[in-house]
Order: sequence, then C-alpha cells, then structure tokens
Amino acid sequence: MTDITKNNDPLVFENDIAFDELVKKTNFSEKLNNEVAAFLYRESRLLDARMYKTWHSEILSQDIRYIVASKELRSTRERRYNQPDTVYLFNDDHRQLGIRVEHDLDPQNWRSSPLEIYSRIVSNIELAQDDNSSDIHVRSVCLISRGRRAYQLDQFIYSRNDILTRNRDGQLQLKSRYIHYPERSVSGHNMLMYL
Amino acid sequence: MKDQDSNLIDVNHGTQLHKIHGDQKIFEKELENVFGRSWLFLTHESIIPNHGDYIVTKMGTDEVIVSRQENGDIKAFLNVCRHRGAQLCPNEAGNAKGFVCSYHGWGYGNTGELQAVPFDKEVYGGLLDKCKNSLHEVAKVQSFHGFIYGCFDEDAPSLDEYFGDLKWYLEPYFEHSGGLELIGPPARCLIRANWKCPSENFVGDAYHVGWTHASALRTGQSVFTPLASNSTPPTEGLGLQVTTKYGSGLGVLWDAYAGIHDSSLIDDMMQWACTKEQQLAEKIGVVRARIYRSHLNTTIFPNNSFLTGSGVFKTWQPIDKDTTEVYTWAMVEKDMPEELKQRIAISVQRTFGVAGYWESDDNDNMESETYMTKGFQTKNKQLNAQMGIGNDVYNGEYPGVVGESAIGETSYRGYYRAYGAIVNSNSWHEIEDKSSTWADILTNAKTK
Repeated sequence: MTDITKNNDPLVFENDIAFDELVKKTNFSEKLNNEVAAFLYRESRLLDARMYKTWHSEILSQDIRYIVASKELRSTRERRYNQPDTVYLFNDDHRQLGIRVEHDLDPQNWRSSPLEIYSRIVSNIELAQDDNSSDIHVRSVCLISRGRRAYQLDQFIYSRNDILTRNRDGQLQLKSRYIHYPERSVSGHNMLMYL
Repeated sequence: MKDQDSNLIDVNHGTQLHKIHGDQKIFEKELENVFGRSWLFLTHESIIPNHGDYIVTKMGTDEVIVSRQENGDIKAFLNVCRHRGAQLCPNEAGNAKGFVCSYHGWGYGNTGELQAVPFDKEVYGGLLDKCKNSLHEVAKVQSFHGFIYGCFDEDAPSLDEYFGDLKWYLEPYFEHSGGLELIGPPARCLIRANWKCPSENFVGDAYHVGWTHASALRTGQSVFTPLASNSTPPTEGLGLQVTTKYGSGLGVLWDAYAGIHDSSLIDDMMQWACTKEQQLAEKIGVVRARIYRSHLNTTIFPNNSFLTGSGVFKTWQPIDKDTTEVYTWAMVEKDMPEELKQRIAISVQRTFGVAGYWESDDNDNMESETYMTKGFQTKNKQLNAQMGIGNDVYNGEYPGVVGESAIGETSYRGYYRAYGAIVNSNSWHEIEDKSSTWADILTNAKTK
C-alpha cells in the first residue's frame, strides 16, 4: 500500500490495485465498519454545521496531511515530457488547516455572510488494513452541495483516499486525506471548504 | 460602440460606464480588437524546454498550441484541424513531433505543416494542396526574459516596446535577479466575472487589501497584516502607482517582498531578498535593487497579472462576458533552493489558487461587479477611478505616468485609457494615433 504521508502523489493506478489487494485480505468486522462510517458521518456533520474548530481539534490528527490534487491533462501515451503534472489545490498540515479555520470564522470574512448552507453525502465507504499496521485505509465517494447567496447551488463530487489512525484514547482520527479532484477547471466559484 | 457609448471610458475624468463589465457587444469588440491586437501571455520557456515540448492554452477565446521548434524557437498555432475544425490536441502539455486529428486523421508536424492525409491520392486525387492547409499560425511570438507572449496582429509593436516604461520596474526581478521560472501546471477555475474585473484589480488596487482581505491578513500573519481592517492609514512613501502607454501598469509596495505569504515563509524569503538586494545594488543601483525587494502588483494589458515577491502569476481568460477562466502558477527565482521554491509554490496555491483563502475574498467582489451589470439602470451608471487624479506626473523621478502614493487609481486610469483606444480601433495605426499624447491625457485628467 502506498503510504501517501510519505509520497504526496501516489500513482493512482498502482494504488488502486494495491488497495484492492488489501481489501481482499482485510478481515473486516462489522463493528469497525460501523465505527469508521460513524466517524466519517460525524465529520461531515461537523463541517456542514461549520463546527470547524471541533473538526480541527477532534477529527484531525496532529500529523495530518491534507491534499487535494489537480492533474494536468496529458496523453495516456506521453513518455517524453517530464515536467510536473500535479498542482496542489490543498497541501496543508495541521497548522495550515488551523489558519484556514480561523479565516473561515473571522467576523470580517465577507464570503461567509450571509451563511453558506452545506450538505455533504459520503458513500461507497470501503476499508482496507495491513496486518502489521493499525492504520485503516478508507475509500469513499463524496458529494458536497453548497448553497450561497440567492442563485448559487454548487456541487462538488470526488473520491477520497483517507488513512485513519487512533489517538491515545483509542478514538479514530484522520491522518491523511488525498483527493485527485476530477474537474480540471473547477467551476464552483471557489473551493473554500473542506472536502 | 459609437454614439451611445461615447462616454464608455471618460479618460479626462477617470470614469467608466459599468456596462464595460457585462455587455455582449462590448465583449465581442474586445475579442476582435483587444485580444486580436494585444500581446497575450502563452507560457514560460522553462515549461517547454525541449524540442517538441508543447502546451495548449488560450488567446482570448481561441485555443492555441505553443510548441518548441527544432531550432529552439517557439511557435503558436490555433488548436484546430484545417479540415473540419475539430480540436487538434486535447492535452494541456506534452512532447510530440506532430499532432493527429482524431476525426479523420489529418496529421501536422509541430512546425504546423500538414504532413499526412489518410488516402490522400485515393480520395483527393492528389488535388489537396497541403501547403495551403497548414495550421493557422499566430503572427508574433516573443519573449520577455523567458515569459512567452503571442500576438495575432503582425503590426503590433514589439513586446519590448509594449512593456515600455514598465521594464524599468520589472527587470530587477525578472532579469537581474538571475531570472525566473514558473512552477506548473497551473491551477484552473471558472469564475462568474468579466475578465477585466480581476485585471483592473491587479493593475493597481492596493486600496482593497486592508478591507477585502481583512480576515486573510489577520489569520495569515503576512507582512501586510498591519493593513488588516484598514486599522493603519496609508502613510506617505509606502509605495507608487505606475501606468504606461499600452495600459500595462503596476503598484509598488516598498520592501514588501514576502507579500502574501504567512509567517512560516517571511523570514526565509526576506533574508533571501535582502542578500540579493545587496548584490544587486552594485549592479543596478540602490533604487532598482530596492524595487527587486519590493512587492509589485502588476497587470500586463490586457489579462496577465502577477505579484512579484509573492510569486503569484495569473491569466484571466475570457470565456464569455460573464465568465473568466483563471490560471494560476507560482513564479520563483531560478537560483532559489529547490526546497524554498516548493514551499512558495504550495503557499501561492494556498493563498491565490482555486482554494486560496485570499483569492476567494476577491472573487466575490469580481463576481458581484459583473452580476450588477444585469441591472438595466445600473449598467449605464459611471464607475469611479478618480483617486489621486490630478497628481500624476510623467517621467519625473520614476518612469511612466506615476502616482506617488501606495494607494490611488493611477494605474486604473492608464489601463482604461489604453483599453478605450484599443477597443475602438481597427488597427495598430489607429491605436498609435489615439495614444500619441497618452501621458498628457492622463496627467491632465481631473475630477470635473
């Protein structure tokens, strides 16, 4: 399994194969499945409710890597051109996400008034786990609907590759999130939200 | 755009009609006369270093392939097959000896020549003249210290002339620093704003920083943070505004090299810039070395903007009168340590990218300026760019038409003087006629 905390930009195709191998080997328990789903649903609810400080302090582990990548459109047969193909829309650690949270909640953040209304859907949750690691790899597919101002209803649809870990109290926390955002030229006014 | 719009741009009084940000006829004139005659940013030479390297980008609403030739030159072509007009290259970048249309298989060399037509002899009977079916080539492609621009109009002044008085300000950072590179690929997004809204903002709006970006300033802890909430009034000697003959302009904020980056980068960036400033002082003089270490918000007319120091580099590509596609690269000095380049690149996207917490502050303003043009009464009301009018000087201590304060609208007025001349002209000859007294027009402008 590619460790995306070490490699910001896993070869997604190889990672997909590795993930599938791991899914087949993972000994799932219904309890763990339910715990992970509840964790992701709580995260969505906290974000919908703009409880960003709770999200930042309770959902995220201190060593979080939070990445949203956008990839340049290249020929699948391209072999000779070796310039970087990825730009990071988010590439944040715990501190940087904290700055974003402060920005979101600042009373002079004009964007946030009138309030934006979020509805997040998390689906297709799949777990995989290495025998020799307590980290849980989670794939999910998400949809965010954001209503703002009178006429804007923006939708953002994407897949997530998460790694969950446990804190000292045994609670799940998000250690890594990697999203390859599918819409190359993002159309939803801005991506000032947590995916 | 004649009679009823004769006061579209009132250069003498520093006003514009609101409809410039949302009128279909004006937009079509812009595509023909502004984007059809101006120099438009294409790419940086470091992005296509090798023979066959190419990128696909926009010039106005037209897609172009920009390709490195065998002799090192760079050419640009419309990204359109000459046969039935299909898009030739669906990629954004790559390396190719040529391009084959996916419709019927016509193949072109990266020189633009039509080289292969399936069943040429059988179906055309040898009558197809390949020489007359090369890709449509962009008339002029030139470089400003590695930054490649293209122009559809053969009669346009050289890129060097086009930058004009701005060169004096830009060369310390673009040339004497040892040169720049862009870190790609660009982030891309669509905003519901007319392309001129962000272009005019970057050309000369230091006024909005403390208020629009109050929350970003407070939370990001950058060198601009004291401006948050307009808590500090602008002091004398904080900066300059500059405009030039063909509308490009900039604002100088002295000594503010680290710009929009947060506290994690300020020390490293300021130390880097101070060391280089000392080296440059001997070579180009103390004033221009200080300009290198300052922060310049710039728009190269019509739609290429950047922040030196901060390293934010943008194009605002028109999609329609209400929609603009934003491309964002990080711009860094070539001789910076790789680790510093990467930190700056990540921070550029974090602040001014698609999920940038500075960019989003601006976008709502740009979008509302555009949306409000839908108001029937509103669109014919005047917009005001009169701040500092009457105080602008030409070729005084500094080149160009200059307003000697950090906050003012000198560069707006110069941008729209050139815009008015270019959008209403049918040739560069006409533009030059209308621009022969450009500096007098701007320095003589007054509120009434």
